Amino acid sequence: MLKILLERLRQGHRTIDWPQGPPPELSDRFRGRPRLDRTRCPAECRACVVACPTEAIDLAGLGRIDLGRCIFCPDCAEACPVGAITHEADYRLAVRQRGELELTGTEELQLAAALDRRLKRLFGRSLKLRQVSAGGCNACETDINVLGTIGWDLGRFGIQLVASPRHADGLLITGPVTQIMALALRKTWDAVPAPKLVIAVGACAISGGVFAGRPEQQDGVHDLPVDLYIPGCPPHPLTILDGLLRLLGRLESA
Amino acid sequence: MRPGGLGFDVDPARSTLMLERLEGFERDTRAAITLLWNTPSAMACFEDTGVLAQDTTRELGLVGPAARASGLARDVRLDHPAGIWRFSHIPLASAGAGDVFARAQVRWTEIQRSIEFIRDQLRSLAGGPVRAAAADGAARLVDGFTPDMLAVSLVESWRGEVCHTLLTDGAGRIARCKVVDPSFHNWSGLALALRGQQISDFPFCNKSFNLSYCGHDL
Repeated sequence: MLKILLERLRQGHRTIDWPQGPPPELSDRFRGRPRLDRTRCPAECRACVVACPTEAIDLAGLGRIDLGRCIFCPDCAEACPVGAITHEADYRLAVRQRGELELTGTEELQLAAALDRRLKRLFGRSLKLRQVSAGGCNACETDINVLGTIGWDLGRFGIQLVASPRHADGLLITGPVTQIMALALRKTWDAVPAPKLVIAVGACAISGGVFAGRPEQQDGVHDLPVDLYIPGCPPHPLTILDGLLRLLGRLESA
Repeated sequence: MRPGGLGFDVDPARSTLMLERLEGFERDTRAAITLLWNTPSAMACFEDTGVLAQDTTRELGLVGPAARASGLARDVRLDHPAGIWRFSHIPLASAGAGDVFARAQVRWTEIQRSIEFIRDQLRSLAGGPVRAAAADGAARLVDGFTPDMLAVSLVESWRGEVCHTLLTDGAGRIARCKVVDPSFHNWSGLALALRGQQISDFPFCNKSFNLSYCGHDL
């Protein structure tokens, strides 16, 4: 017992200060939102469109990048001959509407607004989520798992991943929704008591990601009402936590 | 990571940082595992719990630490040494009892050897490119891929053997890719290890296999 206490003392407090304090320092290789400066594009150049593995770039008009499809790889920026695509360092990426992820270079991201008063009163201090991996690759799932570690301590916000949909207030969905998982996802949704939320985590759950268009899957969550979209491949744990806290109206001052 | 190699290289500053972090990680892990071994109540839950006999393990085709904890000498790094494994040999970590304790013991031996291996490799990283050139600039044609090719690769991951099978189309582009994860093989091992066990021992059995849902065919 004494040895356990001594080891606890030695290891000390390891949970990040954020959101009260500054967020943890991200790697210099962290890639947030890719921004396209269409005015710098050479005439007829389509290098980024060709390079993009998920067809997230549309050069028509002002040019749009769909963050719901984007896997945040550096291929577009590397392919661009004039450096017109740059990745920003901001980890905040979650939005409430699918359309808000399709952005021209001059548009700013509409960061997720809080739930309405009634839902915020219900879920604001206690949100239980059932995680469903609908054909995910374990990357999004692992980064969700990270939030449960001592470094992040999701429980301090009253948010918890639970072992049954009947204990849950909503679904946290990852993966492109494979045909094999579609019925299981629907049944899980049906088993959650109303009112309930749906949160789509990662490019796959939002758009099918790298699997988009394949017959084995459904291009993400479509037949459930999604309340929060958290883009990334996978999203950084900080991006996921930021999205969850914004949805609950707990970051309004930030 | 991408077809043909890696997206980024490790620079000297990064490998120094990784070595520092590895040291802290090793200290914390060693302290926690030592506490575990010295806690009689935990050991009582580990020993003779969730036993999987060697024959059953072989018949089910289990892989990774779960197979080695039941006495099977099965490790892709030794059975099919390729790349770095032709030069660096990690001794097989195995145990015979096939219980929760054996799986924990194999895992701890592997953690220590992995730390040693990573440390050695970071200190003597070879230079050179980290990615095969993309033949058409679009990263979808990888150098070395030929039309209508079938490629199979085996890698020993921390849960065991991962198999990637890849088919190329007539133009040499990736047409199909199928991954078989160690969890795919080992879920049935957990199911059998649980037979006749108390419900209260489920968490020990479950975590001693530590399987992934994503690793099954979802």
